[in-house]
Amino acid sequence: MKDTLFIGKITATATHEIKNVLAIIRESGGLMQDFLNMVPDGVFQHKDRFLKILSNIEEQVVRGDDISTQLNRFGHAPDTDVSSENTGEMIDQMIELTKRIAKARQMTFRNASGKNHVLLRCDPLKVRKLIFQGMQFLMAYGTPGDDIAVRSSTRDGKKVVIEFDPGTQKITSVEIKKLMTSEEWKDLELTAESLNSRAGMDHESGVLCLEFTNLNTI
Amino acid sequence: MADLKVMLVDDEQEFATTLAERLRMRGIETVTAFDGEEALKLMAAQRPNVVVLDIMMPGMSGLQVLGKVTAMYPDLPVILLTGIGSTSEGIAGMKIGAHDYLMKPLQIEELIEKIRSAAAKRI
Repeated sequence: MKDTLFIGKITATATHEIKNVLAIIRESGGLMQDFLNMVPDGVFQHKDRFLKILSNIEEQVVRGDDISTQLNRFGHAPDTDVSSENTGEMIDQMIELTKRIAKARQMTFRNASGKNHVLLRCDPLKVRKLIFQGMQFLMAYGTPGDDIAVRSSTRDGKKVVIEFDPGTQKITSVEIKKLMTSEEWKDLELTAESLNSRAGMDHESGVLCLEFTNLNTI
Repeated sequence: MADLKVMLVDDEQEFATTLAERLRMRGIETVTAFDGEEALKLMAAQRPNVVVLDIMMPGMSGLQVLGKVTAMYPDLPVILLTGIGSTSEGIAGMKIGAHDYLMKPLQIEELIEKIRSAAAKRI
């Protein structure tokens, strides 16, 4: 068994258990809410406070459910060496699972791909790794407060492109040229090469672009 | 919904008993079973209108239980519960006769809607 397959299997299995935990928390909170709703107003002075706390618990269940769903799918990424992947879903997944790191850098990433489904036949784990490396590169060299739009699209009907757009450019083209000699960038390029894809950064706009071949669009 | 009887089958006992209590509070008679063998034994005596069945259970899996239920009670609708973050297991279950499926953690309103729809189909 490959190491990645082992890690993925354990991760995916654990997310099933997390879903069960969340289900018990939701039903227990729901049952408490049912009982509270049976209490007439004015009888229990903390009723509203309890209902608010139960609403907070429910919000966290939804949050945990989103994370565990994405983690489950991520855990299944090493299952096959090649598969057709929805790039928008991969972007969503990596944004959800790396929120904590981005938050620590006071940055946000959002999927700006819209509703068009772009399918990419690829190594599913490596493409996720490359998307993460793109995010990690921008987190290392971006500016706190950056809100980075990540979008996937097709180009010339033959290529799939994933762009990371920081919006207003805050660093100079000279600085960008320097960044592209960093170890992080070299690592990113290595992953890109192993996928027969290309990584580039526009010196004027600061947009990081990953370009893949082998596409299938619906 | 007084005549509606649901059998809830899940090895997560805390989940099953709590959800059963919530369903009862909403007027749905609910019996619980914590594994497939127990469910099949209870089914003949309890005669539920709808079965809500977890897919991932120790011993006899949800899909194995589903196979037996559809063979023994072809008109009895089964709603599958899955904790898996994909729809593949639920779809696999529907291919072998499940009425519908839901992901855990579920929303009780959605479950009730599916229970009603399943019961109506049976009638």
